[in-house]
Amino acid sequence: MKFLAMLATAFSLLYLVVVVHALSFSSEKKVEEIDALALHVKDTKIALSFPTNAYQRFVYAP
Amino acid sequence: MLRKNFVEYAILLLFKDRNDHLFSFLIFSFIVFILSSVLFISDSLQYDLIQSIKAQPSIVVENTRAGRAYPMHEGYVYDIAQMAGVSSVEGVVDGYHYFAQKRLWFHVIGDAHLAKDEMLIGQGVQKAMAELYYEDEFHFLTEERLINVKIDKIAPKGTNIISNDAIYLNPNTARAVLGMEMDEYAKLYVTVPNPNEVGQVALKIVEIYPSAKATTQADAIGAVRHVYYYKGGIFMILYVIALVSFFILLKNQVGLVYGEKKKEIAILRSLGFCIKDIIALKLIQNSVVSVSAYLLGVALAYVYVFVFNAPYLRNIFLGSELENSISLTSVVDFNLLFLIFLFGVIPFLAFVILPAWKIAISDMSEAVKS
Repeated sequence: MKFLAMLATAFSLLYLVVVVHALSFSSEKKVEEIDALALHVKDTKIALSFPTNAYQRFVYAP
Repeated sequence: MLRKNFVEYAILLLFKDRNDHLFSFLIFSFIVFILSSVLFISDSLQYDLIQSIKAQPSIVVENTRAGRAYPMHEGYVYDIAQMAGVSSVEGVVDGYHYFAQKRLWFHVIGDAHLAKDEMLIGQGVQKAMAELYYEDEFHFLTEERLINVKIDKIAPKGTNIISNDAIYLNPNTARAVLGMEMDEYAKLYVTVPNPNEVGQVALKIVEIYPSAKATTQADAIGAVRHVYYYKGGIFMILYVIALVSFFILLKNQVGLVYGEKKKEIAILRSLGFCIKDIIALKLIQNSVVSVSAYLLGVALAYVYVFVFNAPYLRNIFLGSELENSISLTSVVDFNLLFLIFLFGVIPFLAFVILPAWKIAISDMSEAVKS
């Protein structure tokens, strides 16, 4: 029982840290920044250096 | 009802055979960790991208010729603006500039809010340029001339998912960089005020211009989901393969161990333990192992993805050519975590308890004699 109690306490502490991190992450600021940029440039795409395989094939990297 | 002493005895036995259980614990934690990490990254990227698509106009029109992107002229704008249900059509400049020194493609996007000689760049572009000492000014090398533009604005880090490879320029400067004429557009933004008419207008556009592609907001969201379901799906298949291999391994190991433990089970039976007790004993031990491994795997995946921003693994989704220091938004899908629990922990217990039950119901007198 002592071992189970210790295990439960350890996991509670670990998950407490996870929950605190999740709550402290300011996703609102990030959403505001993305919204501000998306208002100017409406058709947004994920930022990849090679948007398609065709572009990647164009570059003859060694 | 389980008695305290019984549970303590089960834990004591767990410690006695700790080496056997440690193996299952570590492998199961690792499998849960990998799958949870991939799902966390996929969900987080999807969330940010869908957030940015929400500002997208009703329809985005792009043109093709011989399967390649091809610019549109004023005639397209006029024709689409005449359609019933369309309130406005805006032509935009968009394309890719090849940065030969670093063998990268920069996404050049026209933004009317910027002056002719200024540009806003993503953080990945800034780093790539700075490596070649373009710190205050960048020289766009085009077929005709060299175009100098001041680097005076950097996009905030939060927007890296969409701005990392992007250069925002005044539309006229962007045209000069991309070699487009003044009346040419790479894309048209079509605004349809009534959401019920969007699909109909998109069909009409494709009817008039069969080589054009009309993407509605719903299509764009669907495309993002499709890409991430596909990438997540590949991992799901790998996960299933890994999990099945693990269970086969576990079954073999358990079979072997329980073969050796036959005498122990027989002694317990002769002491008065019934089959139900033997199964309960094994259930307690393996529940502790599997649930702990699951909880540890998920927590480590959270820390790896949202605290350390998933080094290495995020390159599968974002590519590694242009350094992308995005901060992943913490998005946790509890339904998926529950699904992993259901398809991970439950089969784990089944694979361990079934051999124990088989041994417990066999003839004990022979086992005790041996």
